[in-house]
Amino acid sequence: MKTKDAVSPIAASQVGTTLAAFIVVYALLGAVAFYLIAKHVRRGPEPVRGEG
Amino acid sequence: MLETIWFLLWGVLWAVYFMLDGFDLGLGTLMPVVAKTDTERRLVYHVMGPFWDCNEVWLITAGGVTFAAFPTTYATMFSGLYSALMLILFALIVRGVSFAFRDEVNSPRWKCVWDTCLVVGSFLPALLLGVAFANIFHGLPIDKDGIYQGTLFTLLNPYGLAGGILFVLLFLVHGALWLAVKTSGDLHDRAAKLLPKLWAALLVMAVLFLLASLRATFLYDNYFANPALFLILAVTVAALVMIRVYIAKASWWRAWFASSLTIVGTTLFGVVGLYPKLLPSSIDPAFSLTAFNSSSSPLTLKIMLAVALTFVPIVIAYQAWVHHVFRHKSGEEDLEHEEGY
Repeated sequence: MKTKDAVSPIAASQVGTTLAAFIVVYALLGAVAFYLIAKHVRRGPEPVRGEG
Repeated sequence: MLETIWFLLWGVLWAVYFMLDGFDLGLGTLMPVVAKTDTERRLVYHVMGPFWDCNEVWLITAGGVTFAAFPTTYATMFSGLYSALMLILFALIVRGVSFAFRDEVNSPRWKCVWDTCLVVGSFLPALLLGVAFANIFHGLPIDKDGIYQGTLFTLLNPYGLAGGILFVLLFLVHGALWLAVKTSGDLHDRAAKLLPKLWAALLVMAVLFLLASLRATFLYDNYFANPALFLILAVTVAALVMIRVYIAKASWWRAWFASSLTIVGTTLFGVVGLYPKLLPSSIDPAFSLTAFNSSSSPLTLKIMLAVALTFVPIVIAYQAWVHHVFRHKSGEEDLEHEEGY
C-alpha cells in the first residue's frame, strides 16, 4: 500500500495547521526545557539532605 | 458475542476515563475560583499530582481499544473528529507540562503562564469530550464510505454544546469534591461552599440533556424496547441526588463516589442507548458503523480479551496502590518536601 493510497480523508489545510502547531509548541517547550536545564546546571548540585 | 463484549468494554473504558480524569480536569478548571494565594494554587497542583497521569492512561486505553477492536470506527472517528481531537491533544500537552514547569522558576509571571495552561488545558478537553460524545449520541454526517462530511463547526450544534456544558459541570462537581476530600482549611471551605451551587447547575443541565436526548437522538429506542434498561438511568439519577445528600452531611468521600457513579452512569446511559452502533450516521442509518460491521476478526478480539483480562487488573492494582500511598489530606507542610512531578 502506497502512502497516497493510505492517507486519511482530511483536508491538507487541517494537517498543515496541526503540523505547524506541533512545530511551534514543541520548539517552545524545547527552548523552555533547555533554559531550565541550564539553570539547574549553573546552580550546581544541592547539598545532600537528611540521611541521604 | 465477542463484538458485544468489546462494545461494552469500549463504553466502560470511556466511562472509567471520564470518572478518573474528570476530577483533575474539573479541579484544573476550577483552580482560579477556589485558590487565591500561590500556596493554595500549589496545593491544588499537589492534590492532583500523583494521579492525573494515571488517569490519562485510561484515555490511551480507550483510544487503543477503539483502534484494535473497531478499526473502521477508529478511522472514521479520528479522521472525522480530527480538529476537535487535535485541540484536546494540544490542551493535554500544555496541561501536562504545567505540572512539571510551574514551580521551576519563582516568578509570578512564569507561574501565571503555566496556571493559564492548566486552566485552559483542563477546560477545553472537558468541554470538547462532552461535545464529541453528544455528537456521537446524536449521529455524525457519515457517508456510505464511512467518511465524515462535516467540519469542526458541524459539531458545535445546540445538542453538542449541551453535552459539552454537561461534561464541564459533571467534572467541576467531581473536582470540587476531590478538593474537599483532599484538603482542609480555606481551600476545603471554599470548595464546600461552592458545591451546592455547582450541583444545582449540574441538576438543571442533566434534566435538560435527558429531555434534549429524547428529541435529538435515538438513544431511548433501546430503552423502550427493553424497559429493564431504565435501571441504568434510575441508578444514575439516584447517584446524582445522593451527591447532594452527602454534600449536606459533609461526607466528602461518599459524595465523590456518588459523583463517580453519576459520571459512569451518564456515559453508560449513552453507550447502551447507542448499541450496537458505535458511530450512528445522521445521513442514513444504514451507513452507521456498528460493533458488527466495523470490528476486527474474532481471533483478534479473543486475543485482546485475554490480554485485557491479564493487564487491566494489574493497572487497577497499581493505581489503587497510588491512591493508598497518597491517601492523606494535603496541607502546607507537604509542599516543603515537594520535588515536582
